[in-house]
Amino acid sequence: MDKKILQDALTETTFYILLRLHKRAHGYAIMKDISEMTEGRVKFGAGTLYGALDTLQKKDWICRVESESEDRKKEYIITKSGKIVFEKEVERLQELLSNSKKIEEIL
Amino acid sequence: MKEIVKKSFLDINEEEKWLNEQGEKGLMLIHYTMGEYIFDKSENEKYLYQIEILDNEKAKNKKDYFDFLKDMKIETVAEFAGRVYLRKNVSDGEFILYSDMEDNNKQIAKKNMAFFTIAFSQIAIATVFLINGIGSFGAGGVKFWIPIVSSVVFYISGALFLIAGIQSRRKYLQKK
Repeated sequence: MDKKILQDALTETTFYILLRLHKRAHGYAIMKDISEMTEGRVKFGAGTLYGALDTLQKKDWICRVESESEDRKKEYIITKSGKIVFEKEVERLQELLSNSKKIEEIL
Repeated sequence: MKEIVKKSFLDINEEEKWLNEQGEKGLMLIHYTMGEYIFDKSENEKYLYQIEILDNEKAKNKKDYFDFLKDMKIETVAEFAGRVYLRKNVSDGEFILYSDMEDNNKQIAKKNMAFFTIAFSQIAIATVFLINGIGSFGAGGVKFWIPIVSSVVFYISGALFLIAGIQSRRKYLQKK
């Protein structure tokens, strides 16, 4: 049996940042778009978001890109390894969801 | 129109509360240094304030962090004795700095540090007086009583600061 290292579940913060950064964005857009996507349920504080973006850069799941806008805001985008992590997490969530439907079989 | 207010706070939470009351009146903080707040009075705007104590990671990349905050429509007004004074226009939406409970509680612990620092330094002074007093036990009179009385005063004051610190921590910490 091949040993598989289990990937830890992503936090909601990480999940939404990776999701949003499939298209490049600056901090304010990340915060605003995720808040809209979740109808205001997930709201990032600026300090928390900065810390999260910093951690994800260190893990090489996202990277900073040169800004195209005139105001030169810092922009971020997901990396190849970030995409892999994200896809694996989506698979895991799908498995959870489909297994959760088996509750009637268990009961 | 500029407005200068001289005021000092021991409790950062109280300072923040006071700043937000000024912001509600349209006072825009433009500078702070050692107990002196300089505001610009605005007729139409209102402001929100937060005081942040940077963690090591943010302190190392201060400029980067402040630039990031600027992108988030948060202005860094002043930096003084490890405190960073942040301002946001009410029209730019709510001012959340830490949305994560762990981050938030770390920040609260840092803000209450002043109480504990003062409490422990007073207890240390009290102990020095106590040792002096005991050393002069044989001498009696003033040489004995002055250090003993001083030590009691410092112990009481140290204990009061300790209680204030613990109460403040309890008040602001978020629980699961």
